[in-house]
Amino acid sequence: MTVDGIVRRIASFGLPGHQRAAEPEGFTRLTETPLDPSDFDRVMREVRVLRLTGFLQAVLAAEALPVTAEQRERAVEAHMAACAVVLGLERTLLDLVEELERHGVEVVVLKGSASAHLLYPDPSLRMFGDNDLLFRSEQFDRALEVLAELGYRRPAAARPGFARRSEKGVTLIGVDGDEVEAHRTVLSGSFGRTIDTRELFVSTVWFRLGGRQLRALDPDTGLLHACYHAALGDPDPRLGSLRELAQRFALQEHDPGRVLEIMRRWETGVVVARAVELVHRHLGVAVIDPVADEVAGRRPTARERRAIDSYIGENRSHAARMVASLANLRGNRAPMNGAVRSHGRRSELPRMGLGGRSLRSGGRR
Amino acid sequence: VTTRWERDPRVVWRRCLDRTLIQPPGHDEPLVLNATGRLVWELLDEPLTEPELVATLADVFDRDTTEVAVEVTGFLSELREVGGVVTG
Repeated sequence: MTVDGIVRRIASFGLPGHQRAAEPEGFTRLTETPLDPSDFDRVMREVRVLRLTGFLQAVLAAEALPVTAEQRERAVEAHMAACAVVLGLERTLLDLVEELERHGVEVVVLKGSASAHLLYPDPSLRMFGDNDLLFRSEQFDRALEVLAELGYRRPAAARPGFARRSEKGVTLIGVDGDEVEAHRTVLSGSFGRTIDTRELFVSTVWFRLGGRQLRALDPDTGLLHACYHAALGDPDPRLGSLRELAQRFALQEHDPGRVLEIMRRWETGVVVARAVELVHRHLGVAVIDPVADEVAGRRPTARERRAIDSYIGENRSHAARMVASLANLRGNRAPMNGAVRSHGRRSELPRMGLGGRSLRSGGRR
Repeated sequence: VTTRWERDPRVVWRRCLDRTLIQPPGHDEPLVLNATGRLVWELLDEPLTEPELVATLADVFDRDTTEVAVEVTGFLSELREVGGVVTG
């Protein structure tokens, strides 16, 4: 099996057997012997960048990938470093939510910590590198003010109110270098235009973190959000995003009827179709679900193709998405803005060190 | 003796194979629990008295309860000091 194949299998590890197209009897060993050093290096590099260290731990725990003692320790160290980032972000998240709510700002946590605690049997599987927060459109400026008071700054200056009118949201950097993505909706551009953002707040669910209850998208809007991210998030689909979508389908907590109803109303069937197809192509997982059945074989129209290209094509840019979205505007009163786009995610990992001291118990004498 | 120990609910934490990382409020970095510490942490998912904890660990590791009790007392004290557990 190639390195690429191994990484894909790590990303799909633990998905229900009935969804694995080629392995009805479950997950088999990836290799019979430990990888040679250079291949293992490549696996580790991909696993770190794609934030799959938790799934690699699960693979190792299941003895599905033979490793040397040194390779095992490297995998553990990489995961501990990723966990250190995640724990720091969760501590920050708790502080942010408390402060925002104290100022009357409603917060819905997108992806990240919410996914880790709601979608996976062990949150340690799901690593992340920033906090994504969704705010009501009318509270977006207030949320940015509160975040600014806490020391969060935009990478580049923008006029007050500009982001609220033109973008999905903005990326903010904290004084400690942590990143917050403040969202006013879950998708920009053409397909984002038809999203009723108020609906995202209607039936949110709760998850518990650090003694607090935090809000997250409900399983139906959460599934659609996962589709947007998987289908339009990156030109080369991120395995973590695809895994997240496959995980949501596997959980079957969504109401297919409601998902399809919203999907039609938001005119995003082609996005869902692309996301399901990518899950199949890259993870080897056949999604068995009424939503997948409904969109199976759905091909984009010429206009939809242009819209998709504005997210992931060679000429993708915020401006391209804005131009593509003009065709979707029924009133032909598109705002003439959009020259500023949100800053891309930083890919480096991790930002926090793991200098914590070790608490010993059994080993003490 | 009847004091019950439990995790401080404000702690965020993650498993990492045979270790566990915890980050109590006020800490900028996580603390690492080794395999035994991890087991204690898992057991404290529900409030336990120190004797209950000692009995379970002595049974798991097939060790003398007196010996285990000394280590557990020290560990719980240390965990409380860093804000990992509370008593009720």
